[in-house]
Amino acid sequence: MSATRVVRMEEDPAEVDTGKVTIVPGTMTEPQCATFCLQDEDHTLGNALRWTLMKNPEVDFASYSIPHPSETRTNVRVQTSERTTAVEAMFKGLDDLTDICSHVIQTFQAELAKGEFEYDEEGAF
Amino acid sequence: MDIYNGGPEVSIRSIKKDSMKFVLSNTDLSVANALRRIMIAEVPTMAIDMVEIETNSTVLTDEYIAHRLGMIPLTSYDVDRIQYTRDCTCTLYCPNCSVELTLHVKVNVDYDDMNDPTIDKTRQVTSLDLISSDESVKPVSDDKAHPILIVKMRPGQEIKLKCVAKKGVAKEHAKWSPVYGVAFEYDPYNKLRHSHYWIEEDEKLEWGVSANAVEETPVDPNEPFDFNAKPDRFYIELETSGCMKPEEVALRAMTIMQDKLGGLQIKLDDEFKEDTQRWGY
Repeated sequence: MSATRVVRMEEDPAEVDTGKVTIVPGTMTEPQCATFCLQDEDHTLGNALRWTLMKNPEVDFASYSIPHPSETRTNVRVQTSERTTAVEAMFKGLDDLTDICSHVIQTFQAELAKGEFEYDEEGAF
Repeated sequence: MDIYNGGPEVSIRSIKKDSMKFVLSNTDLSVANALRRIMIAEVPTMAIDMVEIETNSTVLTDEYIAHRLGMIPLTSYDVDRIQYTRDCTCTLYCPNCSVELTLHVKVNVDYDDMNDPTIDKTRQVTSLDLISSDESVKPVSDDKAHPILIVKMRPGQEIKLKCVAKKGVAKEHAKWSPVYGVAFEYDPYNKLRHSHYWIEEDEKLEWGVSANAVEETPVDPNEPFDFNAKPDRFYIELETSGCMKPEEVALRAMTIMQDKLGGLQIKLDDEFKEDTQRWGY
């Protein structure tokens, strides 16, 4: 899904890169560390991604920040052990979070199919 | 899923027409919060986004009515079929990226009743008067007796307009939110001390425990504070606007999360393949 972005009048639409991932210049001094800049992402993804990154035993440090509230970008800092790279860790973090989402969808659908809950077609609350 | 201790668990408590309760457990606060945030702001729905007014002799101004129309929830269970206007090839809007609704009400003057104060001559224009061009996108009205009031009219007044409903997300405008509210609770006994209750004299008397507390063990006052404890059971209750089923909102939210992640992986792949090779890894 392409992320929503309202292009402001003063911005040239051609210059707005939606959903882009870049490395903040100067932050990748070696392959084991990098600060990724995620365009059009916020706490929704940032915090959950930070958690899956930290779950990776090869990741020494992971954090995220939103440098400015009126810019729709999120920075994610990753530092890993010698056995992997920051980019690889990032891939694994994204993969793991995707797996978690699939797992939630599966268990949710299984629960719906089981039907062991109170059900009321009409009631509002 | 090994490092995630088997992965998250979902337990549905109840589903009603416009609301549902479920418990998400064995996962991190950040994941539960992501689900909550996506349900509120990133699940696409349909809402009136453009209004072309032909005649308006009512007491309300054009922009006032246009704003009111925007707020009316529209059924959006078939929203996947409709494109975002910004992704569509058309210039302004077309049937692929929009749905048209029309409203035309004219209140005729009845000269016989005009001077009879006992007859209520007010015509209530409601969401039932909006005629949609698409059966799957129309104003939410579960109760024909209580439709959404748009404007009240007197004899002699007329309103004629065309609305264009578009697909959108609540990140752009709250009118596109599929939910009216999401209740999100964890740790009802406040064992983690994430909440600080404002009290006059007695916390227990002034702040009762929530209904979700029955699912957890009460706090033992002699137990030392566990500073390593993390929340892992989330009680979520959502109420929709009626635009789609509550379980659909939750499922779509997780799918949207996956789409976001998939998109990032593709971008990351394009961007850093060379970098990784350059460093020899």
